[in-house]
Amino acid sequence: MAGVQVPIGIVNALNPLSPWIGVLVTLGVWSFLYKENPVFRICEHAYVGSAAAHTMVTTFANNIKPGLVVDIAQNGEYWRIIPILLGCMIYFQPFRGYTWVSRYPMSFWVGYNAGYNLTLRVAMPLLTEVRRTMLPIFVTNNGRFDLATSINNFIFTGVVTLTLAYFLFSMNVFKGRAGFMIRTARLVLMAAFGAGFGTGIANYVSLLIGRFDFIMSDVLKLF
Amino acid sequence: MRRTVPLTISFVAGMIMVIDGWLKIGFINNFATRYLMPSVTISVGWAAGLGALNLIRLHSRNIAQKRLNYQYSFVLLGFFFLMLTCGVFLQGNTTAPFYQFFYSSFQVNLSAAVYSLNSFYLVSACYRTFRARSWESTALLVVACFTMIGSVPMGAAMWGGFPVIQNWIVKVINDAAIRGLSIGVTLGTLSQCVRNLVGIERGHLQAGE
Amino acid sequence: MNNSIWQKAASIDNRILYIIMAIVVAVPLMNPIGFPIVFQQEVLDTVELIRSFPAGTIAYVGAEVAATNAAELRPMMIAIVQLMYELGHKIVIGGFWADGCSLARLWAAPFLDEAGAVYGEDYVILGYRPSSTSILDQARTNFIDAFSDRDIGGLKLSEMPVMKGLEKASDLGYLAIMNPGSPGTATYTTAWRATGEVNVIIDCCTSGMYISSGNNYQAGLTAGLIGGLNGAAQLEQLTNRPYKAIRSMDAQALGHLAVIALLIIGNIGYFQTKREEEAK
Repeated sequence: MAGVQVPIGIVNALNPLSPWIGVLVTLGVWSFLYKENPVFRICEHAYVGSAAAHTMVTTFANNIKPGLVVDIAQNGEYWRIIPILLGCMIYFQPFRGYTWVSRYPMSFWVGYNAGYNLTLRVAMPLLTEVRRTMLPIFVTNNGRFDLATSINNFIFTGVVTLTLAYFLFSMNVFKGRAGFMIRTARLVLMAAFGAGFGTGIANYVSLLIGRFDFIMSDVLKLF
Repeated sequence: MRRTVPLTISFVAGMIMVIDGWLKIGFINNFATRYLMPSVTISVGWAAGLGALNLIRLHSRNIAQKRLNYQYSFVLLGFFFLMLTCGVFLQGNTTAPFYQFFYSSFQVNLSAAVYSLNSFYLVSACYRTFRARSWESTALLVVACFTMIGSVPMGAAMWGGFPVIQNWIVKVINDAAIRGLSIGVTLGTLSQCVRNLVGIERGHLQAGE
Repeated sequence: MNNSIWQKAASIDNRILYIIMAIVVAVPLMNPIGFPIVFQQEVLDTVELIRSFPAGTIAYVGAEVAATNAAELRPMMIAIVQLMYELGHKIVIGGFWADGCSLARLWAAPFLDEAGAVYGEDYVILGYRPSSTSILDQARTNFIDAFSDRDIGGLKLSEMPVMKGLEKASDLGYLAIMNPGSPGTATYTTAWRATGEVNVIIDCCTSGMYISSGNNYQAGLTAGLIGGLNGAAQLEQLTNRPYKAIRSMDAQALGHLAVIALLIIGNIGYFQTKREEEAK
């Protein structure tokens, strides 16, 4: 399990190539922007293969290996073989006729997580959120009426109420004049999604910045 | 056997967690901490190979049956087994230099590059599809523009009001709408968990049917 | 004549759009304009909060990152761990994204080593674990057991000086969670904040998560908030360690302007074309 050590000389010889490989694969992936081509397909498949392998390797190195070597072999905690067998039952899923075996671990995880969520862990954030929504409408600051905060609190509470009304109650409840509420709720929600869209764009632009920074700064040392 | 046992497992595991979460009952708290939680960690770890197994099956079939573009399946399986061999069999952990070379050269850069394609597509989508056809979509676009300008120093340099407006939109309108959504989602989560626990919701037991 | 110009403007080839975007981002990275950073109250408060913890406090950094978040979360993580080390806090880095701890090793560890931090004494990287909920739950009563007593390289956690005094989650002074999605801050909030183990969680989120993180911050579920590249740039400025985030802000700004310009051109072109068709 300790593994074979690759001679450090080989690693030292390969390491300078690493940034350049990074540039090549980035350009290979970006070549798709011009049109579909074999270089992109190679990069795409290499990505899926390496990502799957990395998940396997990290899980093995940090979870499976210590579990076998430390917990079972060294500490003698043999009960841990039961969850190992339970986990392995999931591998019956692809085999027709035995797929039902894979339901056992699945139900274990679903049950565990359902129970996990039906405690204070989810209730506390929910109640905290509800409590922090009940903001005072008339706010005073050093004995003076704070108009700006009062208006903001009124809008905040109103928007929360409108959002909840929009999603929780049937549309049929709001007919005629009450339909105005739904229209307002929709408008406010779209405005909120606009803010999400704006911050989302910042996120996507940063993905590009990250790549250009890598190529121009980390590899080409242009700045 | 095929339905009752899984439902019983679900119920028992869930109820132990519920009792552990709300009550102080020594042996149940102890059982949950010492056995149940590690069991979840261990079983999830050992099950992590399912995705990889399906990947191997699919691409092995591609090669065996010489399906369209089967040559790329060699690339996928090649990278998979190369990194797996380096990480698991050759060196045994992720910090070993040889594995790190493959990880930092290929995996890190490929991942970042593939997702950076989204930035380009986003530009195209903004240009071609976002249209102010109604009051709602106009509100979305205007708020998005204020949020974008107000969140960068250039916006503040153009006009000091941009960050103030952006901050107000995010802190009042957006936070409030997200609060409403969050409360709704949490209530939905809780009801779904109850349905799972008592066996009304059985979607996860569909495998093999 | 004008109409035809708008028609043309509304049908620019995608590849030209891509080139515009690439230029708009690449040029200011090389030649930053250098607009002054505008500080947000939440970031100022967060840095003050971190500074309020005494030396020797054990801080947990949630390396919930993937390579895609490098532009935003890499400078944020580096600035945070540098600040923690400067203040004499012990740093425990963990993560439930498959890439998280490996990237923390590539991103943050070199800066800590350069500052003189010793691995195992001043900081430790726990390594990726699947199933965040069960591990965090178990860590409430026995932190080292929950992580199988092994760090990312297979070394024994129980023999490391940095782990002294960390028997359970409540021994942690505060958490700084890099938050690009799930698992993220919400995972730690439900596991440790809701159960009262740790009361101070600092949410270091990406721009994409900023809207939901803002809600948690307003509700008091998190005690600090640093959002996106903008937040990372403010953090770098406040800790006097200018790095990639500050330099990237102009590229971000011009990227935003380009998107806004294209949105406007696309809309005007669309409505002009529609008007022309109706006129015909």
